[in-house]
Formats: sequence, structure tokens, C-alpha cells
Amino acid sequence: MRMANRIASILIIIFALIIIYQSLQFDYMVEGTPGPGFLPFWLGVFIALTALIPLIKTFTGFASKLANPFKTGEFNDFFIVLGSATVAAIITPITGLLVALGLMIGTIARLMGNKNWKTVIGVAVVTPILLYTIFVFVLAVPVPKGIFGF
Amino acid sequence: MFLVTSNLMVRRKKIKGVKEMKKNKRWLTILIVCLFALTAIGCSSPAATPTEPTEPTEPVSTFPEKPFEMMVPMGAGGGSDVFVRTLVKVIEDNKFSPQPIVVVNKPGGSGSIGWSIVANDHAGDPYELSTVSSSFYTGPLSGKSPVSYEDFTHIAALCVDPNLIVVAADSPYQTLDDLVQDAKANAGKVSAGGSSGLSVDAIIFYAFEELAGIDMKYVPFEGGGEVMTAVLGQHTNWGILGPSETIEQINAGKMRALGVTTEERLGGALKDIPTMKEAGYDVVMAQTRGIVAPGGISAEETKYLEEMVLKAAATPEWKKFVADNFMEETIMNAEEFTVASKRINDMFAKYLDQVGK
Amino acid sequence: METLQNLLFGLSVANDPINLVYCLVGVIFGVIVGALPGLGPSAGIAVLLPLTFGANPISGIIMLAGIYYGAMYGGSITSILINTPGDSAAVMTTLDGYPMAKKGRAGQALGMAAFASIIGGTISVIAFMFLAPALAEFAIRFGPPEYFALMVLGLTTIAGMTGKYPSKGFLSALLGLFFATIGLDLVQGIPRFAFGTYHLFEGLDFIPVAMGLFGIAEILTARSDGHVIKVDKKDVAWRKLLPSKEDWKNAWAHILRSTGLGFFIGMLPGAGATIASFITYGVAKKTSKRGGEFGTGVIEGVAAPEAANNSASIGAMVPLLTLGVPGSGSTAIMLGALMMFGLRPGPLLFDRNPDFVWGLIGSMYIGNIFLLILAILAVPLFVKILNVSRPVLSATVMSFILIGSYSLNNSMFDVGLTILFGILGFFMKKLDYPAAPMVLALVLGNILETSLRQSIIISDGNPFIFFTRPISGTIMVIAILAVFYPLVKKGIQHFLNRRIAQ
Repeated sequence: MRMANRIASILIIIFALIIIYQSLQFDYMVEGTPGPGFLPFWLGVFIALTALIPLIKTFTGFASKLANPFKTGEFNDFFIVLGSATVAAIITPITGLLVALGLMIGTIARLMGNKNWKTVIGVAVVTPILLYTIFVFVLAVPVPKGIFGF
Repeated sequence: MFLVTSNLMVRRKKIKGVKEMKKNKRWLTILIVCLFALTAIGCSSPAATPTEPTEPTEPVSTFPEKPFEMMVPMGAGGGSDVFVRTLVKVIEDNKFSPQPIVVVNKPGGSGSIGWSIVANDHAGDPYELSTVSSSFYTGPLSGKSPVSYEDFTHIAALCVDPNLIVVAADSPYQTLDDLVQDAKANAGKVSAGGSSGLSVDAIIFYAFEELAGIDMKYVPFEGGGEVMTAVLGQHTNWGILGPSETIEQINAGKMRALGVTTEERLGGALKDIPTMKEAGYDVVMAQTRGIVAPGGISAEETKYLEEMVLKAAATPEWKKFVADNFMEETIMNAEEFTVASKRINDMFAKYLDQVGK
Repeated sequence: METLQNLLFGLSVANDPINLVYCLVGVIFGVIVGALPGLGPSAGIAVLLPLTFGANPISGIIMLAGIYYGAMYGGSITSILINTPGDSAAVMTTLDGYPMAKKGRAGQALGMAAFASIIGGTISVIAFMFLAPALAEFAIRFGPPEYFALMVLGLTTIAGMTGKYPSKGFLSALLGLFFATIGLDLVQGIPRFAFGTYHLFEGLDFIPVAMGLFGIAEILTARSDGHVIKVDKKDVAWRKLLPSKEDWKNAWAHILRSTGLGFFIGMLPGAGATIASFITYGVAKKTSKRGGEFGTGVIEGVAAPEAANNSASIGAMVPLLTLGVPGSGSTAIMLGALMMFGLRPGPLLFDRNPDFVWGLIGSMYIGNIFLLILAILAVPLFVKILNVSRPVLSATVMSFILIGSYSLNNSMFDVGLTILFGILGFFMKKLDYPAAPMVLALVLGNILETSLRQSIIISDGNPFIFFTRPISGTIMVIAILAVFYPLVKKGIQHFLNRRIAQ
């Protein structure tokens, strides 16, 4: 936990420095009034300063007493869900959004621990049909179509 | 249709592990009522049923052989959206198009997302139409849109949206001259509200400032509604707003218009408002509204679409819409619109240079 | 008396069978789009807009208004059940609604959300009916400095959402404020932090951020955090599902206060239901006896924002109908609809089209009754969603989130953005960075910066404009008190304790 907090704080500070650098590219003041760079600049400064507090705390020993939230297995769902979602987004131009989502649903349901293939396939097939009914049929959202024509 | 959907719903519920379904017939009833309502909506929504039966009217040419899509690169309910939807309704009510026209909103990036889809992804596709507004020109000029007016085939322009110089009813300004006198006496103190820092409103402001030789401050707001509040609440001394936004306030005696940015005076209830030109400040600037298609479509297709739009523009329904919304009718065919577009673009380029953005 | 006559006339217009059907369809549809992640009232209104062209204007606007306030309740359903706010006005409802569901009190939370929504809505219709024109005069007195002060007041509520580590809460808020600066600069029109993509020119939309930080993050962490929500079959009875007497005792004062505040904030163009729910949640936390328990599943934490967002949706009708000024995306679309009907909202609408105005008012009473019946009947059904096995629920919710984010702008870009914020949300959750301050700051930040810059232009660079104008000065003082009062109170207590100890 201590290390994780330390890394997070340092990343935020780096991000804040990028904000400050970027905001200096814009006008800070325009004719006596705050310009586009005004607020981002001060936000960058305050973010960097505030991020120092949790960073300092990691050295005072307080935070280290907490349990590590990144134990083995904590990332399982992270990779299952976001992995399948990302794959779904990538294959959308080929398969169409609904098919991609169906595959994603099946993968997530199966990998997250549903052992019943009937349920997994059922959900993977029925949910896209429901999505089609709501989003395409009723709401007329032009969802990306793929090689199957839907 | 209705039965199929409700069956699906029930199956889904079963799979989801809800086994009490049968006991609770009530829920099923409610569900069916909901679905029925939804299905009813779906059935009667024109957008949801794009393949209505149509009779082929022009056997000579096969164009158009499938439905048109009309891309509004702005949100629903805005000026561009109302313009397009009304026009499409007139075309469909009068059967000027043998194929349905589906209106699609694709807001984002001040229109640049929608327009780049039309011009880039549909180049040469005569079934993908769109409309223009001021950001059609200002977007590419300020480097924020990848496609410019030159990437489109101009079909026809129908009208312009004028702008008014307005003040609250209890403002001391009775005429534009009062405003200019005050701005001269209090250099840099008089404030004006308009929509966004990069718009027709801003250009009107800077052009007025320059022509009158005065120094004022421009307060950009997000949209006409906020400008209206600023003017009515006298948070700014005056504002720039469209006639259809302000007409009710003017009628109710809460607001006063000092000038209009058109060549000629407007008609109807607004006929007493002097043009800025006759008051001595030659600001003629209004937003042209028209229809465009992607670049690279054939001359016959352009001709067909031009005729279709111009036919609609000649109907009494359309003329009523234009008059009701205090737009100025300026009908241009494809050729005239193309020339006008270049002129509008040059004018925007000139002022954007001056504004320094 | 005249008002009552008008009301009776309005009710008779609204009671026309066709108008009743439109009202019912609007409310049902509103609840559904409100509950679907990513789809808010404005999407619902935009979708049904073409359908209303065929109808007469009264039926059309009755339906659109029904969608609007129906969606305000609908948004709370997914907030409470799966921690995914259906629309922006429902974010605050997740803070105590979802913890309530985790405690097995989803039914009470949903029931309270429904009652609070309907009470808020009905009281607001009464206020609207008697006071609309007078209130409109007050609304226009809110200029940029007043908006700035209101946003500052809204930001003070962050202090109540920082969780265990205040510094992390404030960091989250500051980052949210930064995200609000992304997009085209209003004054100069230059793109800021847009990473060269025009998808970000109009700024970072709230929906992908909220769905990523709340919905996806919850899916990613639920299993490892060991949240298992099971609903016993016996508990799915109405009596057990509805708020208890004690719940009512705790919540009623907050419902009334939030209704008043929500109506007022909703009336201000640009502020709207989302900000109303933020501010009233903060006020509820400050005024409740058990303010310290907020965020752990207290009933008033659900009642306050839900009463506020519904009353704000009615309040937004005031500037829409009396000034022709839309206060939000949803009312902007409704304004477009009215203009297509050939009706022009403004000060004269009440005199010129009484059937329209009073028909709408009448329909809002009836619509709220529909909403109540619908909500109470549906609560047990909604609660059963929690019985769906975790993998299946996660997979289905994920697909709804992704297609919902797609439908926002019909673009895959928003889908990617939602996934990105899901990743951020996962790490924030694991490291105890609260998500609510970031979302709140994102919503407030935009108006905060714009109104700051507008005010300074108006005041010629004088920053004291916020204190010298009566309304903004008052709000600023309240905001300052809200920040310092707890500190001062603590200080005095500390001092007294020391005295006693001595």
C-alpha cells in the first residue's frame, strides 16, 4: 500500500507538472482578465502541492499499516472485463457493435465464474437482442454494423 | 411485433434467474403495458422505420434508389436541427422525394465531427446530406475542423438568420446612436453579450466597434439563452440575439431591438427596427442556412437534389416557417450558393484575422 | 382563485384520454431512459421528438415533460442497484443509495427515491403554478458573478465527500476541475488539452467519466471486495420494501428543504438538476443530525438529491416557458419542439396559450401520480435484479454501459473514454481516492471558469465583484461559513473541553 500510494502521488505530480507546462502555452491574462491559461495553471500548482500530502504520509509510517489492495487475484476481474471490452471495441468495425458486445458478455460471464454454458450463451445471445430492441429499434441509435449486416 | 418483444423479455427474465415470474402475473401485465407503450412509439417513429413503401416516380433515372440520410452536426432542438427537420417534413409531406429522408444528429466539435463524416467518409455519396451554419466556415478557418466548404457540393441555400442588437426595456439606450454616444463617453466600460468568443455574434461586435470607432467589451456566453438572461437582467449593457429568440420579449415590452444586421428591414412585427446600415454602421452579417452534399457527386445528382430542395422552398408551409421565425428568405441555387459560400468564407477569414484568433 | 379555476381547466385538458396516454408513455419512457446507463432525459426527449410532430402541441409537450421528470426518478434505479448513475442528476444518489442496497435495503432506498421524487415534483408544480412569472424575474437577476458564487457553494460540498483521507478527496476534486478545462476555450475559441482530437473540443462529457468511475470501477472491484448482495424472497414484499416510519422521520425535513432548494436552482439557466442534487446533498449532510454517517447508506442521503432533481426539472420549466430561456440540454430540446409546434415561449405565453400552459401544469400533477404508481409497483421487480448471479450481472451491465456511452454522440470515441475512466476508477477505488468529488468538480468546473472570466470582464478586472453584489455576496458568505463553521465549532469545543478538563 505504501509503495502504491507513493507511485500514485508521484504520477499525479508528474501529471500536474505537464498541466503547468501546457497551460503556460496559453495566455495567462488577456486585457486584464483571466485568460485560457489562468485556471489550468493554478490547478496544476494546487494538484502538485496537494499530492505532496499523501506522498509525505507514505514516509511517516501511517499508511504502511494498511493492507495491500493489490494482492494476487485483485487484477483478475480487471483484466477479464477491460480486456474483453477492449477487444470488443477493436473488433466492432468487423463484427458490428452488437455481435462484439455479445461475445464480450459471454467471455466476461464465463471467465468471472459462471460455469453453466447454457446460461452464458443464453445471456450472450439474448442481451444483444434486447440492446437491439432498446437502442436500435426504439431509440434509433445508428450502432456500427459489421459484416453480418447488423 | 409486440408479442415477439414481450416474449424476449420474459425469456430474458427467466434466464436471469427470476423464477417468481409466474406467481406475480401483475408484473407481467405491467411489463406488457410498458412494452406495448414502447412498441407503439417504435412503430410510429419515422426514424425507426426507414424502409417505408414508396412508389418509384422517376422511371427515367434510378436516382434516388435508397433512403437519404440528413446529418445535422448539432444537437436536437437547435437552430440547425429545427431548420433541417422542418425542411425534411415539408419535402416528405409534399412527396418531393420518392425516398424517405432520415434525420440524424451527430453533435460534437461545433459540428466538425458531423461534417468530417459527411465530407470524408461519404465522399461521392449523394445519399448523405447535411446543413451549414457559421461554424461550417469558422471551424476550418481556425484550424478546428478538418473539412472546409470546398469539400462539399453545395445544393441550395434557403434563408439567412439575422441578428438583432437588443437592450432591456429600461435601458437608457433608445437608438444605436445612444449606445455609441455612451460607449464614446465611457470608453471600455460598455459591455455586450453574445454567444461564444468565436461566432457570428463576436464578429458583429468587433465590426460594430470598428465602424463606430468605439471601445467596448465583449462577454461571451454559452448560447442564446444565457445572453438573453444577461440582457434582461442587465448584466451586460446590450446583447446580440436572433429575432425568434427575442420576439416574445419585444412583444411583451421587456426588451427593445436597436438594430438588425440584414441588408433590408425585417417584416411583420419587427418592421420598425432600423438596419444597422441605415443607422450608419454598415454591419450586414447573418447566418446562411442551406443544404450541402459531400464533394464529388455527379451533376445530375446535384441537379436532382437542388430541384427537390427548391421545390420545398416554394411551398407555403416553408414560407410560413421562414416568416414565423423572422428569417430572411434568400433562395440560391447550387451555383449561386457555391459562389456565396466562397464570399462568406472570405468574410469570416477577414474578420477572424482581425479578432486575432 | 383564478389560479384554481385555471388549474381545473388545465386538469380537464390533461384528462383528455389522448393526453393521458401521452403522459403515461412519456413517464414510462422517461423512467426507462433515465435508468439506462448513459441515456439521460435529453437523449430520451431528442429521440421521441419526431414522434410529437404528428401530435398536437399540448400532447407533445405533456409527453416531453413526462420524459423529463420520469427520467429524474429513473436515474436513481441503477444508481441504487448497481452503483451506475443512469444520468448526471443521479450521481449523488449512488453515494448513499448503493450502500443501502449493500445493507439489504435496496427496496427502502428505491421507495424513498420514488416518494422523494414525487413529493418534490408535486410541491414544485404548486410553486410553479402560483409563482412562475414572479420567479422568472428573480432568475434573471442571476448574472455571471452569481453563478460563480453558486458554483463555489457547490464546491464546498466536496468537503463532505472526501472520505477517509481529505487530501485525496481534494486531489480528486482538483483533477476533476482540470478535466473541466478540456475543450474549446469559450472566450478565445482555442482548444485546450484536447490531445489534438476534435472529439474533445466540446469538453469531456460527464457521462463517460461517471460511468467509468462508478459503474465500471464497481464491476472491476466488486468480487475482490466481497460484496455479495442477496435478496431474500421473503423480503420482496411491499411492506418490507417501502421506507419505514423511522425512515420517514429521518427524511421528511430533508425532502422539503431539498424541494425548495432544488426548484430554485433548477430555475437558474445553466445550473439545473445535477447541480441541485449536488448542493442539496451537501446541505442535507450539514443539517442532518447524523451527518457523519453520510456515505454509509443513510436514507436522507437518498431522499435529498432525489427530491431536488425532480423539483429542479419542474423549476427548469419556469425560465423555459416565461422567458423562452432553456436551463439545460433537455429544456433546450423542448424549446426547439415548442418552436416547431409554432409556439413561442415568453412572457405572453400564459395569456395567449392558457390551454397549453395549464394543460401542461395539469398533466404534471397527473404524471406525478403515474410515476408514484409505476414506481411502487416496480420496486419489487427492480430489487430482484440483485438476485442475478454476479458474472451475468457484471457482463450485462458492462454491455449497457458501453452501448450507452456509444449512443451519447454515436461515436466509438466515447466508448474508449469510458473504458479509460473505468481503469482510472479502479485504481482510485483501490487507493481510496473518492470518485464523487471528481465528478462533481467536472460538472461545476465548466460554469465556474466561464462565470469567473465573464465576471472579471464585466467588472474590469475587479475580483471583489463577487462580494459587492447582494446576491452573489450572500452566497459567497454562506459558502465561506459552510467551510469554516465546522472548523470554528471544533475549535470552540476543543477550547471548552480544555477548560472543563482544567
